[in-house]
Amino acid sequence: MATPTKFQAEVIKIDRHSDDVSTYEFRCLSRRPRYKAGQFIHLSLEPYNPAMHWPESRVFTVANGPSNRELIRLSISAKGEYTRRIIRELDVGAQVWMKGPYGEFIVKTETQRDVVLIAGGTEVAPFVAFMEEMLWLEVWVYEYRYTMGFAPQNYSHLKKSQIPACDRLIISDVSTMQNKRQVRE
Amino acid sequence: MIDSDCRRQDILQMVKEYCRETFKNGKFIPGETPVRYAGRVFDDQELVNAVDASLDFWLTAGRFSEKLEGDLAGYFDLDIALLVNSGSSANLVAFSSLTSPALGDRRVCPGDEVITVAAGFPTTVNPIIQNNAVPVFVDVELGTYVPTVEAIASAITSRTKAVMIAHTMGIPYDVAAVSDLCKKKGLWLIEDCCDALGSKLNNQLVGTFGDIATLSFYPAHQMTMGEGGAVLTNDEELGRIARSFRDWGRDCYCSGGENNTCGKRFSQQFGSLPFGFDHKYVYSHIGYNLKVTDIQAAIGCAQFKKLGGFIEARRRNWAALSQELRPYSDKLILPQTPDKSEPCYFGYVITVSDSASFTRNQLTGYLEEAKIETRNLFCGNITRHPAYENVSYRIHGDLMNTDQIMNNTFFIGVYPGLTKDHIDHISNVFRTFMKEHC
Repeated sequence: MATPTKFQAEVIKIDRHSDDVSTYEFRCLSRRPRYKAGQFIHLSLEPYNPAMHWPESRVFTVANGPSNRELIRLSISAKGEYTRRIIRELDVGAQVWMKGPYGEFIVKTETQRDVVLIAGGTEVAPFVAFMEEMLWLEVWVYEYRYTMGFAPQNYSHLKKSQIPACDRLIISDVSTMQNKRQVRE
Repeated sequence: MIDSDCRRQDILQMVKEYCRETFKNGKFIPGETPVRYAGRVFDDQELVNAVDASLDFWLTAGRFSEKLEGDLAGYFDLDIALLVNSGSSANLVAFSSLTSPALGDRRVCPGDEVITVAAGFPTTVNPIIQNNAVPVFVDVELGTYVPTVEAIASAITSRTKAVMIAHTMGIPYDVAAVSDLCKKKGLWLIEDCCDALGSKLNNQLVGTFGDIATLSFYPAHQMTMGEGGAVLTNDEELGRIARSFRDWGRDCYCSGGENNTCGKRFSQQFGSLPFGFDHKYVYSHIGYNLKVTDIQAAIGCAQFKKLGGFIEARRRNWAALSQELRPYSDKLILPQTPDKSEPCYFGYVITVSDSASFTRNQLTGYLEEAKIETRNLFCGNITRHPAYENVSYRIHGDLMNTDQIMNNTFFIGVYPGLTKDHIDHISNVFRTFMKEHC
């Protein structure tokens, strides 16, 4: 994990998908640490003095590949009061503090076999970043099959026969997996 | 501005004025003013930063530490730079990291061999011994004071797990070839760059060839923070292990003053601890506390801005000394720069030839009388020191050159504090010595 650092970023674009879900693009105002697809950062709306303690913040997985070191894309879903504040208060031009990267939800790239990535809602973020990184690195991405669907309440009905032959199945969903991502070999 | 901010600015302004009044460069008087082998070179910015950090009273690693770690990672174009409290600590953290159980079969275990050299500083070798591995000493070359790739390759056995060698005095060994060799043989490569911040081989900074590298920021080095050092790596796993060894051996990677950055502080299983045991106090290594204070890092931040100038000055002084001492190359082995290298020299290393009509100690005594500081090349031969008498090690081949270094080698300064007046004085003293002794 790259050494986490704190940096400021400015909102440069907002895609409002619904009242509760938006995707934000931020331009980093200072050097951003290198991160790997799947890692997450903290975002704080509060003013921050680097000589003081880090203020209240929330964590979000970076939803873009690491090739562009000035850009950070976050898909944010209003789940509680703080994320509702983010949706309500962040407009283009707003500046926020971030710190990161953190986390080890990293898909290894050595495999030559298919990988099936299943996610629900904004939890698709690490996989979008992962696929962007694969394209950037030009490794083993022969074909994309991107299937969009409506997420069931849980994955228990999925049978192995319904999943194409693959190295592993990665399930990412806050609501059904109790915020724990699982890797099934 | 609120009152405390105004007062801080007043204090910092006074610190600037204090520094300018107190640390003026005096007139150089040859034979009276010492010509140091090394020393801190600074201006008001180092003092201002140190006081600024003191006024934060954060004390442990904070905003300046984070800034310097980011600056160093950017300078080397590596992902991870971890500040530690000395170059020796950096070596200890770097080597200890290779013993982590997390590395599986590749971990260095007690009894495994590690190839190194005996002509150097003890804390390149000590971490090998402290971790119950066996140092294997190979000889070095006179002139460069580093080993050849062939010497390293021929020392490899089935017990070899790692190569840990310093770019002694800032002169790179052929680390590109050594790195290839290590990859081919499945060995770890630790680059001790404590003397060599800014040195390049094949236009690439040393410290970026191996698996993990170390820096020192002691005042004699290319930049300083008083006591300080850093561990560098691009390997995420090694980085996390190194952070753990530095920070008491804990598993958690939160910085001081932070909690639960991973979001899983109370929801993980470790060893036989109860589920949800506070991750902040889970230990995955037998670690140390080798962290820096933010005051040290604040000084380092100011020094880092001057690094380019420091490196240029060292190269300029080294070139000037080479020019002045060339006439004595029949009596002195003058330092050599390996092909395709651009060293950032730690000092100007001289070996008195066997054929010379004087000894090293006669020459260094004469220089010291003239107020020109000299230093031996650190240990000379580490295996000859009392501390290593009962240590288990292996010598591959012989250490003839290493013994010659112990007997006949010394160095003088090239640090950025030297001026043309200092170099002229050094040149004059060598000239008079040679007239009197040859």
